[in-house]
Amino acid sequence: MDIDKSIETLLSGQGIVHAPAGLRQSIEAGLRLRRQRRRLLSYALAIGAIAAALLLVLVPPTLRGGQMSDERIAAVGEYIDNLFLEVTDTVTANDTSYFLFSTSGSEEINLFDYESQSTQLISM
Amino acid sequence: MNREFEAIYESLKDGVFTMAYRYLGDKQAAFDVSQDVFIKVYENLGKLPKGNEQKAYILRMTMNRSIDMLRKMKPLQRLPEGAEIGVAENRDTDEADEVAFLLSDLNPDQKTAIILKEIIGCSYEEIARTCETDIGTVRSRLSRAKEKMRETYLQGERHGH
Repeated sequence: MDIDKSIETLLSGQGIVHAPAGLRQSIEAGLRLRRQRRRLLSYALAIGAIAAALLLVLVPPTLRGGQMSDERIAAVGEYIDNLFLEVTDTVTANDTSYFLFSTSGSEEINLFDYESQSTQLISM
Repeated sequence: MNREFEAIYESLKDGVFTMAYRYLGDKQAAFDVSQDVFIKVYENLGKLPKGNEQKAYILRMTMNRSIDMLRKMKPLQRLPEGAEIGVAENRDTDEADEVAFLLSDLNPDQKTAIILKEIIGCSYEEIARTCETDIGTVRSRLSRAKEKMRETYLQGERHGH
């Protein structure tokens, strides 16, 4: 018996496996899913771009500048609530004392750092 | 789906599926690989090589994707020490067929050459393009593969396979 011939016959006869009928539908479904994902991603990017633009327009430069810690921003925020009461106050954030003062109706907050003896003016 | 894709799909669907199946020995995994390959083909229709290069390019994609899948599957297939060996319910019944038995001892290069030549029916030139090698290397891989398969075949005969 010719072994090579048997092997060849076996490979050519049984070797090929026909693609299942569902493969085509599955490819179409896969392509649809990818298109949907791409669309969602572009929506998310557009929303992100709008949010970034709004942030640039609406938030004062000092607040988004990264110079202020979260605690400082919170302290300023708290102070803004009391703006019209003309409160002059001292707050401590990050182991540093800040002297906050403002004039009623003014749109500015002066932040005085005792350690460095410097004043930061925040426009609101 | 457009006509160009239809033509590629119709001419290569069995070849791609067979190649993936013969590599992986699992119909579900071969299905996933074939789906991935054809989605990539569809998305890159404009960038695909034309003519003779195209078939080799798609078969090479199938081969690479199958090898990746095989790497992912292997750790999962390893049985923990002392585990009972049984037949999984969803195990492919064809998995232990004679062709798989014949291919079992071949290294990946020899397996690719044999699948492409004897099962899919590619020419030496197409195999060389798919494997990114020269025809001489293809011939020697095929010859060594046949030698190994002959041994496997004879072993099988002795053990009543």
